[in-house]
Order: sequence, then structure tokens, then C-alpha cells
Amino acid sequence: VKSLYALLLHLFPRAYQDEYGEELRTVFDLSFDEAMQEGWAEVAGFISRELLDLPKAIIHEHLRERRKAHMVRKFGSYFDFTYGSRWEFLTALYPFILVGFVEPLMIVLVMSNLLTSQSVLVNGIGVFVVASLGILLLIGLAKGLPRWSLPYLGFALTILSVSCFSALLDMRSLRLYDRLSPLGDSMVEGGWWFGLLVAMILLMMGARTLPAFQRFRNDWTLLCFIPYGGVPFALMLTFDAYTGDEPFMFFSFLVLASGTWLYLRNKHEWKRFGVLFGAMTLAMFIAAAGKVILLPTQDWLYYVDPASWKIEVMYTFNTWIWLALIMLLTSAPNLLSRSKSRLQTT
Amino acid sequence: MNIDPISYIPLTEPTFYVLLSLAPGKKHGYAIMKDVVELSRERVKLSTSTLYTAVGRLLDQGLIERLSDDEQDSGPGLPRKSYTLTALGRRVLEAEAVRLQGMVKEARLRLREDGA
Repeated sequence: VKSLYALLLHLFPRAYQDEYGEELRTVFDLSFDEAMQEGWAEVAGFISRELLDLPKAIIHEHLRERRKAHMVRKFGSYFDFTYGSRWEFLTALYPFILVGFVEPLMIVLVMSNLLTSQSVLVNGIGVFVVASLGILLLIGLAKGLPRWSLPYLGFALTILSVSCFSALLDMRSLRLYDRLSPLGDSMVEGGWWFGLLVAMILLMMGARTLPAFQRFRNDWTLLCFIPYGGVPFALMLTFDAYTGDEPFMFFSFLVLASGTWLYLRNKHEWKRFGVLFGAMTLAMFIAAAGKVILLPTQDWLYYVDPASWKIEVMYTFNTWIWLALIMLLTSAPNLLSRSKSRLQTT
Repeated sequence: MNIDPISYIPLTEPTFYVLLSLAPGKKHGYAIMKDVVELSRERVKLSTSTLYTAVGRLLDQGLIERLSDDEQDSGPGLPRKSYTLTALGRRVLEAEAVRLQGMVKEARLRLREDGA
């Protein structure tokens, strides 16, 4: 009887068997032994009770399991987007999570002497981060730039833009710095983002004329998602020489990751744009606040001028202005067409 | 989070007895089964599967909790897992007892009126 009962327990759902199977068997065995001591009438009553209740319990547990699975699916549907998939969600979030979380984690491990900065593991993780971002960008390009790949493109364009401007600054014959300085700090620092600006203007022109870029006409926020991918690199530049910036980097990237998540989930174009713009602004604000807090503790600053923090904040502010300008530029044609249609309606 | 115990009542008779059985302290499945028979004066005899269906539901509702292995002192051959009432479970049991008390009081009053 005990073996038969143990066999029947296999009719319960797998998870239920794992959780209660052993207990059910033990309690059944003990109850059966007790009934045996009280006589056959008790045994018959016990077995009939068990056999009558068992099918009911099995059906009940299977239904409960299905309800649980349904709830899990319902929870999962929270990550399904207007169009796209969970894969899209994960790949779009990946650069923000990877760069934002892995870098501070590695620095913390090095600072707590769990790893050395020259260790194979640290270098290996660094190579993995860069390689995985590069591979995903290539996959995105090969697939015709799906939505998830746009921040990767923005990240790559930003690196290219900054590298080009650095190269131009290094060319002493051009005397670029001397030429831009009279125009103000915003213009000099804006030079880093000039390449990205040009790339975005070209993409916008392509979106208006090329059939292959039809997608960007249908959803203009896609263009805005490209420079958003450059914000992580802007944050890295902002904190370039700083030490102890890990918490601020972490929170800035958390904000950017949340912005991406909300962007992918939102159905309304203006809300999507607002989310990206807001997240970029908040991330830069956290960076600026972090610099003000960290500045007095930096050992590279030989002399802390009362105005030093203003200069540092202004640098971040200038970066924000340029990123904001580029993001607003992508929405400008849509803004103009809306005003035009409103005028016609009036 | 303050959950209203009223939302859990009325309890079914087996559920009430399972919770009542755990009111004095922790018990393993077999002890609960025997206690329910005793509490109900042999009127409610739970089968093993019914007991664990109730246990599973009460765990999900947060009315009881399962104790980890090292917290237990069950004897040899007895189930190694035992259960205890949570604070919410105790409040639900008390609320149900008040409800039943009210019902009995009303019934007695009416029966007395009928008798008079």
C-alpha cells in the first residue's frame, strides 16, 4: 500500500512533488502504521479516505500550478513591448547595465585588494565588455539597425566623434584650440560632440529621403535613441580623472537603464522622447553633483580654487547642453510638422 | 503591510482546525493531522493529501510558515519539516473565533426566544 501511494504521488506536479513529496510519504506511512494497530476497519477507512481525496488533491495542485504559471506569464508580459521582444529589451539595456555596473564593481574589487588592476581577470573582463559591445553592434548593423542596436551605434559614433576631435586638437598646425578658445568653453568642449552632431544630421537627412530609413520617419524617437547611447561615454569622460566616482557612475547608469526600459515600454512618442531626455538630464545632474562632492578629495588637484567646482560643473553642463541639443535636433522636424498641422487645423 | 484578517474569513472547517492546531506552537504534518482529529472529536479526519493542500494554500497566504531544518527537533521517522502560525495567521484565527462566537451567541438568543 505504501509503495502504491508513493507511486501515485508521481501524479502530482513536479514542483509539488519536490516540495511536499517526502512529507506526504512520511505522514502517509505513519498514519497507515497507526491504522494497522487499530484494526482492519480503521485501515479500510483510512485507505478509502486517502484514495478518495488523492485525485481531488492532484487536480487541485495541477490547477494551482497552472495558475502560478499564468501569473508568471502575466509578470513576463510586463516586459513585452508595443513592438519588439524580451530579447530586444535585454540587448537594449545591456550596454547601460554592463558599463555602469561592471566598471564600478571592478574598481571596488581592485580597491579592496581582491583583485589587482593588472590581473588577468580584470583585463579579461575589460576585453569582454568591449568585445561584447562590438559584436552586438556588428550584429545590429548586419540586421539593418533594429531598435535595440541604436544605443550601440550612438556609443560607437560618440567614441568616433571624440577620437576625431582629439586627433584634430593634436594636429598643432591646425591650432584648433587657439581658434576655438575665443568662442568660449562651450564651443571648445562642444568639439567633442561635433562629429556626433554631424552624424545625426546626416542620419536625419537620410531618414527624410532614403526608403531604407522609412522606419525613422515612422517613429522619429528612434533617431533620438542613437545619441542616448552616447551618454555612457559622456559620463566616462566627465569622471575621467576622478577617483571614488563609482556610486555616482552606478546611479547615473541606473537612471539611463531605467530610461531605456521606460522608452521601450512607452507607446506615446512624446513620452518616449521625454523619458530619454529626462534620463539623460538626470544622469548628467548626478554626475555634476558627484563631481562637486568628490572634488575636494581628489589628489590630482594640487590647489582647490573656490571656483574649481564651478569649472567642473560647467564642463558637465556644457556636455549636457550639447547632448540636449543633439537630442532636441532629432525631434525638431516632428515638432515643426506638428505646429504646421495645428496651424492648418486652426 | 497591514493586511485585514477579516478578508480571510470565513475559514473552512479543516483550515480552521489546522490553524488552531498550530496555535500553541510548531508542529509537523503528522502531529497536525492527529491534533485535528482530537480537536474535532474525531469528526474531521484529514487525508494526507487534503492536509498538504491546506498547508500549501496557508503557506501561500502567509498564514503559516515552514521552519528551516535546523530549527526542528522532530523524532526519528517523523517528518523533518514543521510549521508554525504567523502573526497574520494568529490574527485570522482570532477573527474567525470572534465570528463563530458571534454566530453561536445569536443562535442561542434566537433559540431561547423560541423556547420562551
